[in-house]
Amino acid sequence: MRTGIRTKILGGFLLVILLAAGVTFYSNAMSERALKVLAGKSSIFVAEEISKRITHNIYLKVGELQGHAIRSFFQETLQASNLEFEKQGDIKAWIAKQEREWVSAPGNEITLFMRGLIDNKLAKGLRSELIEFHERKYGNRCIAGIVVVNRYGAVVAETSKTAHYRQDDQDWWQMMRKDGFCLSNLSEGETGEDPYGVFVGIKVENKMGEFAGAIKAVLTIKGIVREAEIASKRYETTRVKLITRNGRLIYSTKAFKFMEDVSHKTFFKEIIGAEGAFVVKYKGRERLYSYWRSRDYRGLQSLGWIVVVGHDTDEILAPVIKVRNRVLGSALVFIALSVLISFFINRSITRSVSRLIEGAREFGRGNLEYRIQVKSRDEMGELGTAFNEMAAERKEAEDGLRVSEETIRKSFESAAIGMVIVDLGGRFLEVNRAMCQMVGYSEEELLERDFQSITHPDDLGKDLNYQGRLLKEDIQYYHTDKRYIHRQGHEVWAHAAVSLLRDEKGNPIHLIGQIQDITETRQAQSEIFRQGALLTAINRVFRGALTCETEYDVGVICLDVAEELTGSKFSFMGELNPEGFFDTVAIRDPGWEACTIPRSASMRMVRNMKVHGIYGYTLKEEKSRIVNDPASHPDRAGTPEGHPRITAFLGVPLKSGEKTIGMIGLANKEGGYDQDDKEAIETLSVAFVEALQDKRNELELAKYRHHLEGLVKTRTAALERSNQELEQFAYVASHDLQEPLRKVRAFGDRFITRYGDQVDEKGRDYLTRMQGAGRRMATMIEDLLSLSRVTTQGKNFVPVNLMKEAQQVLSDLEVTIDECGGVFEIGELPTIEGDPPQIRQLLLNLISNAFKYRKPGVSPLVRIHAAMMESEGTEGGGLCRIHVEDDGIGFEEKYADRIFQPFQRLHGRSEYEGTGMGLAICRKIAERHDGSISARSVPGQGATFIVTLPVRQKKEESKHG
Amino acid sequence: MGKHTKPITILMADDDPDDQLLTKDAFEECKLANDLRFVNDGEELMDYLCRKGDFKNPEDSPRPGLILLDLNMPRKDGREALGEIKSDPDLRRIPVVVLTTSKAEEDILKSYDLGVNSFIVKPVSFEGLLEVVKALGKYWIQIVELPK
Repeated sequence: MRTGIRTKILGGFLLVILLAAGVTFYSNAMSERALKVLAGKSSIFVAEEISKRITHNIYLKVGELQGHAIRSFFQETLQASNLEFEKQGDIKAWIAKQEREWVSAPGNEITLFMRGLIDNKLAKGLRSELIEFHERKYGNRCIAGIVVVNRYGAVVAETSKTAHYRQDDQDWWQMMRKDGFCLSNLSEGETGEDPYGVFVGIKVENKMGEFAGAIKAVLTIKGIVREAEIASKRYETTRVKLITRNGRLIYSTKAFKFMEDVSHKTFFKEIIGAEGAFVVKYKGRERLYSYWRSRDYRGLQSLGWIVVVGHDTDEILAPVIKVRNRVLGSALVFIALSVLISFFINRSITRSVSRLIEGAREFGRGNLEYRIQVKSRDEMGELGTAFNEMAAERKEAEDGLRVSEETIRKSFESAAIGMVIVDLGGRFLEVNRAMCQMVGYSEEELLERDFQSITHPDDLGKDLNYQGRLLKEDIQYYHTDKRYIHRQGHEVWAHAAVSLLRDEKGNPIHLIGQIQDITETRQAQSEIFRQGALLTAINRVFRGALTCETEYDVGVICLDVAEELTGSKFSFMGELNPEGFFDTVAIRDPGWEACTIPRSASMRMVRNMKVHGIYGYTLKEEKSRIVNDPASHPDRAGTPEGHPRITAFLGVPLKSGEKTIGMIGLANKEGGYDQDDKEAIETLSVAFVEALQDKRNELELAKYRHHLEGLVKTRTAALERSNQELEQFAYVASHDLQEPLRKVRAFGDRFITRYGDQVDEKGRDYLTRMQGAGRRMATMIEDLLSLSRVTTQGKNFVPVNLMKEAQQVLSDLEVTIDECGGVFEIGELPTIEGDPPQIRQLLLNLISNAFKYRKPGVSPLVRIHAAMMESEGTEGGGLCRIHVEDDGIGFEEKYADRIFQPFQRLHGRSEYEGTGMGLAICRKIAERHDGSISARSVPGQGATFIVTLPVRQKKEESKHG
Repeated sequence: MGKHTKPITILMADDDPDDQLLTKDAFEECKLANDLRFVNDGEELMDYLCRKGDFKNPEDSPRPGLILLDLNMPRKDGREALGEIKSDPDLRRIPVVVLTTSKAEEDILKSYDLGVNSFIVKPVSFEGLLEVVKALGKYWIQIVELPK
């Protein structure tokens, strides 16, 4: 059963409301009950109060009476009566007689005797004070009558006629005598005014505490129950009843029958204990009754009356009921409201939902354009939006699908290669335009046929074989080259790629094929083959040429290649010589062998040949020529003696640039030569020429190289000789020249030492100058020797750590540097290949110069640093530029080159010592290392010497070990 | 120590008369009392040592305690003579000090190979010569024990 949202919502609301109402009712009922209990309790309290009041009231009266009883007048009267009676003889008899007389009087008659008792002073007083006073005050009598009795039981005074004169034989007198007090229950009144009342008897004692008499009073019910009346005013529905313990109704706030027996009534039956409360249904209404049995009061016994207070529960529970009603009312209102609200909510939801339902149905029907109106911003709205999005996406997807389907269809139709779909029997199901074009049939014609009918019979077997394997799932697809028979009857080479389409269960449905026309491809392939063959041929030519030693051999290889390529039997190659005749450069062995005349003769013949005949054409016209029937050719010049017969001829000129320098001739290809052959050989001819030229050049080069080597050898020998001479000279200079110089100096010294003092000053001066000159000569010779030794005693080049060398030099010059207070800075110096002692010498000369030519009086600063440079032709290591910079006296730039010449100085020998050799040696060393040295300076601002040395040196043969 | 014995004869072989004179002067300057004798070339040296030729008389050729040998001499040079001396069982005990102008590495090596005792390059100055002679004196005459 479909319970709509409406029902659900409504139901939910109602349920909630009902639950709420239920809870409220329940709590209401609970509070009702509690209230009843509470009311009951408080009602009991009320009853208690009333009862207590009544009792209190009674005892107030008793108190009053007692109070009266001790008054002096009362006491005196009573005492007088007692005394009077005591005087009598037989009190009892007298009383009895009076009694007889009393009772014999008619009911309402008041005898004189009685009058005497009623109107005496005491009685009057009692009457006015106790009875009438009350009457005046309260509106009714509380005390109906009062009797004063003396000790002997005789009435002394009474407010109204009593039934008896004698009292001491009554019950009350006994009780009074015993307890001092007597309280009777309800009984008929004696006075006749109020039929019922309660009477009290009080013992009176005289001052000495002796029994003097008693006072008895009858209390009216009205007076008693006045309290009850007051109390009952509290609730409107409150009824107060006063009931004797036997169930006689004494008083009730509503109309009642006095002394009515209510013991049978329901409510009375509920009265069990001393107090309590209960609820009784009475005349359709609930009444709450509470009762209180009167108790002893201050030690005096109680009447045992029951005060019953009854309320209409309705009145008590009025507030609760009011609440309940209100709740009921509210509940109803809420129900109504909830119905309304639920209605609206439901409407909103249902409307949204039905919109959604409508929308979903539309989508289901396929209407993807429909959009759900989204009116609410809740989950419904989101759902609606989601639906819309879904619809949009689906539409997109569908559109996309449609587009892609379209595309596929179009692709199929307009594909550049043939596409076919063929059923398992071979019949064409679908063909595209390219396929139709390829085989020359229209689409309708093809769809009537099967592929077997247009396949070349030789290729059909292969096709069917493949298809069998496809069906068996041996292969997934196959490629094959096959021929189709064009509508016009010719063959069309095609490449077919075929696959099998299966359904989900794997059952074959149909074959799909892509057919590519490969006629052109095949042609291209054969062309490629040809090209390939040509390339291979060219490759062979060049490779072969590498290993050949002569031009002839190269030629033979060329011919070999050409013959193979064209399928020729014979060939020759040759060039035009300066005289204009043809020299055959090469003929292959088979060619020689085919020659019928002896080799020696034929060799001669092939040189200096006249340019004529069929082959001559090629040379003259500088064009290739095919002559496939030379015998009948008009240009034929006949074959020379011994020449093998020529059946077909191809001649191709060999060109260097534009000039024809020779030709290659091929002969006797089976079936004759064609354009392809001609083109091939023309292409090759370029390679032949190049190969031959290369070989020729190579040989020339070799010749020249030999020549050069020879020259170099002679030169080297000459150089070595010259070097040796130099060496000898150096040796002579060092040894033989120095020797006489040594003697001159030595004897000079000896002379000075021995005979110096015998010579005058001038003579000594001359001697000193001689010595000086001798010293200088020695130094000069040394320096010259050093200079020459740079080349003659150069050692092998090894890695030299410039840094270390420089530091060593500076260390060696330590003394000099310290003496002049010099400071030096060394930058990073690299390691280069060089001659260690020479490099040391170079650095020493430059650095010592730097310190030597310092500014006088100034501590020199010498900086040594290096920079690296890339350079070509330096064995790959680049160049190293060493700077030696000083802040000394400097020199003029124009002397920058002169200072490097031997013995050149810029200062006299008296200014700075030195021979002027240092820098010359530096230059020599630099040049030996294939480097250079230069200098820059500004006078007064120091100088910079720059040595450029290659990092790497050529490998040399050592000159000295 | 050779102090108490008779001072040794020192034989100098040098073709250069100037060098001879200078050396003689140097010895005098150093106050070396040794008998310094001179021969002019290798031939004379061998004659002296072997007591042949002009030196048959032992008085003319007292056995030297030290030979100072120049390498470059005519007729027979020092190298040859050295070879002969050091291969002669009798003569090779005599310490030979080469005193030559040549400082060629080859000469030095060859000389030591042949068994020369010391190789000194002739100083260029007279002072230098004095030093050498002094040193020679101190070393070869004072310090070293010479064979008898």
